Amino acid sequence: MDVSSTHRRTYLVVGVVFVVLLIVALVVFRAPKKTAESIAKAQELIAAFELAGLTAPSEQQIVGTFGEDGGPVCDTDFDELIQNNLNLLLSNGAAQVGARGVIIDAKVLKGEAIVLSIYCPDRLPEFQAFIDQLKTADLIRD
Amino acid sequence: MSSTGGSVAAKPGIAKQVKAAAMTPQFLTWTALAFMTVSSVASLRAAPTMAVYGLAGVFLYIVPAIIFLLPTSLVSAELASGYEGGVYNWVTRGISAPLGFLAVWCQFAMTIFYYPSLLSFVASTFAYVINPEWANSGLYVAVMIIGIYWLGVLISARGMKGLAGLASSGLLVGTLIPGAALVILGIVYLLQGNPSAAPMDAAHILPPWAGIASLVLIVNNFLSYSGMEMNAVHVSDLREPGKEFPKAMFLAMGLVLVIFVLPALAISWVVPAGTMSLTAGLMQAFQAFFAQFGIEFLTPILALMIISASLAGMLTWLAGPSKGLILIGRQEGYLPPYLQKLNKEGIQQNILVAQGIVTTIIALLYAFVPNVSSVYWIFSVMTTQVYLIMYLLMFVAAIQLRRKDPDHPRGYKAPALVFLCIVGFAASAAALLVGFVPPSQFGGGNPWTYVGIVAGGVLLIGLLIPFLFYRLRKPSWKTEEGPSAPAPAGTGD
Repeated sequence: MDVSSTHRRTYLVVGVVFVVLLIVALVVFRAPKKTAESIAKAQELIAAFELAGLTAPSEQQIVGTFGEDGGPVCDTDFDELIQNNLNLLLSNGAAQVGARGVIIDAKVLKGEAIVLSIYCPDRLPEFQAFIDQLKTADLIRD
Repeated sequence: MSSTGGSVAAKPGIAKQVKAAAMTPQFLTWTALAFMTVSSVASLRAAPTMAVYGLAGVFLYIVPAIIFLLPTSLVSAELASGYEGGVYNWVTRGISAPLGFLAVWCQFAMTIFYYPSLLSFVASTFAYVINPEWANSGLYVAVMIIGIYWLGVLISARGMKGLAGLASSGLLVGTLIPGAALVILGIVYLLQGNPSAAPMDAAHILPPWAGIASLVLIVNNFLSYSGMEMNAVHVSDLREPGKEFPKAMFLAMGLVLVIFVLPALAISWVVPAGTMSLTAGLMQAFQAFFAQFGIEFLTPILALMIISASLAGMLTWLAGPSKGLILIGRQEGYLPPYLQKLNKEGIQQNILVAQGIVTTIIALLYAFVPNVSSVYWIFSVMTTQVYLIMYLLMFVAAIQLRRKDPDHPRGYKAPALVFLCIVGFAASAAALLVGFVPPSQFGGGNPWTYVGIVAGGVLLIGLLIPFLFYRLRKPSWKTEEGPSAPAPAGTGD
């Protein structure tokens, strides 16, 4: 088989796999719906953010992200795998090989603690214990 | 019969032409190389992380671009336009062969822990849109890391041209198109009369000064541009390396800056800092962004796009450093014969397989041993430190080559090379020093313990292993082909 047809076959396979995964993801993914409960929770979250001195997202953003039950943030256990994912995100601005940890601003995770307190308060103690042991500094201007 | 006799007589001529066509090298275009370079360095993955800094995020990218991106890009543009083979050849010629091996080993070794962390990100991103609970499954994470890595090896083993095409497509589909969409939506948001979530006034151009923490943030951002030189190893696949590599680097520099700065700024306009969950992954910030416009359905599309960009980057890193390693391994005899073998596409398949075995073991430990995954982040510190050793050697080699070999033909000569190299060397040294400052993840532990762990890892990964290769080498490991370059892209397929 010549070079070009080998590469074309590779591109075709990769392309088909991408499209299939895309279709699956579009079918399976369910964005939170706007309900009375999700709106009420969003308003509660906005009030909590403002009380904490944070700029609150719009109600639309909160409803579309957290819905009634907090969505993915409440769906996952805060185990070592998730903690490692979080550790890897507390990093510099590198997107590939240069990524490594920095000293973060406490505000980066303050919002998540508030989200947990509204949508799944039982998850909060474990998360709070994790962020309490992080070293932080004031690196984001209000 | 005469026509048959005529066609029989014509066959050898046709056969020769076909063979000649098959043997004609298929060159890599300079734009493809530029796209591969951008794929290796930039994607939207960092956008939510940097969006929290608002307008100061621009400063946090521009200053490192001046101090680190410019020197690394311009110096490697000059070196690649004059010398093939990439870092191993530059340092070999500029300093010595053992240090040339060390330089390319550092480039290669850095990827050992990069693949599992990249692919765990891919796994968690995919889980976000399908079933977030999968992110808690060690089995799922292991299958994703191991499966995708070996798929990458299979694709890389087929040759450069296919890989270049996939890397370019991944950049276009996974970064440029969605990045542009994010920026356009961000501008629409502002034009609708909405105030920016992050202040965009002069008082917020600079991040607040918080002492050592600020230094860590700014200097660590130098590493955002790590890898700009990595694809220089493919320079011999260009039709006119001397002219085309510098063009590729200039295009790549511009694209990298735009990709890093603009999408992060757009997110900061729409999503207030620190209000989204990082535990849920980066996609949460993007989902909130889309929710503002009522287009949350774009979330899984963006997830797949970001995954494709990440995998495109992974392919370039699979192909690059291992190629440099095999070039010097064969030329100087630093690698055992098994690792020197090339497949029929001229690809260093056995090195990729050996790396694959190590990656598989690391992935299994990462996914199933909680103590490993909980401290995995520290390996990224060690390997970035190791990578910086390569930069130190590269800048020294560049000065030496200008001094020792001033008349060697170079398609591009960097302006004020010595000054650029001094700045680049100083920036790399600063990043190396700052790498010993414990980040947030280390918490309140003894900083000297941290220094010991990181230094130990750097010595083991970056120095001891290549030293052992060097000491245990045999004269018979040096191939008789001399400084062998792999077949140009497409030949021998």
